[in-house]
Amino acid sequence: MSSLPNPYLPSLARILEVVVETPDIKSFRVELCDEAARESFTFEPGQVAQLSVFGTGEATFVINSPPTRREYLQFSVMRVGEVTGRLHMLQAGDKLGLRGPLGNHFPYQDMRGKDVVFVAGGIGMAPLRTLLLFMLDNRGDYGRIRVVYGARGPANLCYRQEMEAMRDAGQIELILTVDQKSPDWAGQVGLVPNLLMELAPPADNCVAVTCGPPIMIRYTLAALEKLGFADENVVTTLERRMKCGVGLCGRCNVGGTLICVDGPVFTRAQLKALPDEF
Amino acid sequence: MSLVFLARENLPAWIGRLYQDMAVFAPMTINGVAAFRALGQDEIPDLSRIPASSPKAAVFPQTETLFTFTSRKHADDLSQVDIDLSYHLAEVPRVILGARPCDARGLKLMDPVFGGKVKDPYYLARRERTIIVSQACAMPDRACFCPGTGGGPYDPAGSDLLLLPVADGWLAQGLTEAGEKLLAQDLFTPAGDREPEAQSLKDKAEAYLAQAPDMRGAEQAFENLFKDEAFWDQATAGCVRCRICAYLCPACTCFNITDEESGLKGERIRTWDHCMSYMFTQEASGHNPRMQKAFRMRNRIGHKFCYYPQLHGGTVSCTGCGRCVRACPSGIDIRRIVESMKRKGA
Repeated sequence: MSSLPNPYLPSLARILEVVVETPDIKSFRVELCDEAARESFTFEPGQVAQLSVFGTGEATFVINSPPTRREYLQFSVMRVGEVTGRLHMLQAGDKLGLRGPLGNHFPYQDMRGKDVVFVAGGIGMAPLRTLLLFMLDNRGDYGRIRVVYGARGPANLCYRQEMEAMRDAGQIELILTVDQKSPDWAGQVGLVPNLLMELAPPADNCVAVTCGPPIMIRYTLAALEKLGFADENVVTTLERRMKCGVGLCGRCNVGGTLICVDGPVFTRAQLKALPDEF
Repeated sequence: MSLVFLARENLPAWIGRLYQDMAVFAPMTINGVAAFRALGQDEIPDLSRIPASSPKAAVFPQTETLFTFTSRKHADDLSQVDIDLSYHLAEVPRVILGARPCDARGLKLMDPVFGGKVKDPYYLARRERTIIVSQACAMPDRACFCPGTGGGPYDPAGSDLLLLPVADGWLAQGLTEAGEKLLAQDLFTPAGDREPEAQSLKDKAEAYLAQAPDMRGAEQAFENLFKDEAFWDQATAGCVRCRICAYLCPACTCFNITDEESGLKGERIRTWDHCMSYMFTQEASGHNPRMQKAFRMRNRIGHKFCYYPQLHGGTVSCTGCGRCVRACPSGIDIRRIVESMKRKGA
C-alpha cells in the first residue's frame, strides 16, 4: 500500500445510542472504534463527515455535537433516501463507516463579543445545534443568543426539549413555530422568515446564522437584508449532493467553488460572489 | 534531441518487448471502432485512425473498486459484527501507446484535479507508473481543433515519446528519460535524412488546423451570459443526455461512488459520471440545483471554459480532440457553443 493517505477509506465507528428526535429524524451518537483515532479526532463546529452504511453507500452529515463535548460524535439524520433509510434501521452496537472531519466551519472566532440570532427550519437545526452548544460552552464570549426555529408541525421540531431547557435556564431566547395550526400546539404559527421579521433583531453588532430548506434560506436571507444585516454578518451552511466529500468527484460545485471543501459554511458576502445556482 | 526511425514492420516486435515489462494500452479496432484498451499478447494496435475514445481509462478506469468490505459475525454473539476494509493500488507499470497529443494534454489536465490539495491514491498510483507514447497527428479531421485550446497536432507536451509519422513508419523523438528507455536499440535505426518528410506532414497538419476557433479567454463571456436562459436553452436543445461526450472526453473527471454487496461481502465502486445527467445533482429531498438540461449544459461549458481556467492559469479543460463533436448523436458542436458565447457575451 502507498504511503499516501486514502481519502476514500472510512474509519470504523460504533453506534453508542440512537435518539428518536421526530417521526423521521434520529440522532446517532457514535465513537470511532480505534481508540487512538478517537483520541486524536478533532474538528470545528460546522464541519461535516461522511457516514457509510456498507453495501448501501455514503452520505454527508454535519457533526452536530460540539467539539467541546467529547463523549461521542452526534449525527442527526432525516430519513429521505437510501442511505438515510438504512441508517434509520441501525441500532446501538452496530458499526458504520465515518470519514471526516470534512469541509470548513462556522466563523465562531469572528462572532465573539456579538449577539447571535439562529434561524432554522426542519433538519436545518442540526448544524446550528453544533454552534449553539459550542457557544453555550463558551457562554461568556457571546452576547444575546436568539433562536427562531420552525418545522412542519410540533412533532417535527428537533431537539425541542433540549432547547426549551436552555430557554428555561435563561441561556437563550427561543421562538418555536410550526407551519400550520394544530390542536396540540399553543405556540407560534407561521413561516420562519415571517417570524424573523416580527422578532426584528437589531442588526447592530449581531450575527445571523441560518440553515434550512433552500426556499427557507432564500427568504431568510432576504428578510435579514431588510433588517439591515450586513452581508458578512449573515452566515449559512449549504447542502449539495456529494459523493467524495474531498473536492474530486465534481458534483457539488457552484461555479468554481466546491461546497464540500470550500464550504459548507458561507457568508452572504461570499454567496453573492457566486453564480446564482442554488 | 535526435530522432530514430521505427519501420512499420517492426511495430509488432517493439510492442511485444514492451508487453514483457508492462501493461500496454493502445487503440484496437473492433467492429470498425478504434478504442483504447489493454492489449493481450500478440495483439497489434491500430494506429491508422484517430481513436474514438481517449486513453484516460488507463489511469482513471471507467469502473474501479475503491475498497472491499467484509462483515464477520462473532460465533458466540451473532449481534456482534466486525467489518474489514481492504484496498490495493495499481503496481504494474503501463504504457499508453498511440495516444494523440490531445490525449497527452488530457492527462495533464486531469493531474491537478487528482493530485491537488487532496491526492487521489488510485489515480496517482497508475499515473506515476504510466509512460505515454504519443503519435503525432499527421491527418487531423474536421472535428479536430487542438490549436484552439493551446495544443497542436505535433505538440510534445505531456508525452514521454512522440512518434512522428512518415510513409513507412515513424520517427521517434524521446522527450523524457522514461520515453528514451523504451527505444530498443536493435529495432530503431538512425533517422538519417527522413526529418524533412516528417516536417512536411507536420506543416500540412498545422495548416489544416489553422482555422480552429480559439476556445480560450471565454471566462468573462460565460459569466455575462450566465443568466441568459434562452442562450443555454438553444445550446442544449438537441442534447439527448446520452453521456457520450463526457465518456469520450480526455479531460472529464467527474465520478460517482456506489456500493455493491452480495452476502457478507461487497465493494465500494467508483465509476465515471456525467454532468448532463439529472441525477448528477439530484438531492434526496427532491431539490435539484440544476433541474433543467440547459442549466446542466451551462455548468458543463462553464466548468471547461470558465471555472477550470480560473483555477488553472487560463488553461481550458478541453484539448480540442473533437471526440464529443464526432460522437454526438444530435450534432452538438462545442466549438459553436463557445464561439457564439464569446460573440454574444462579449
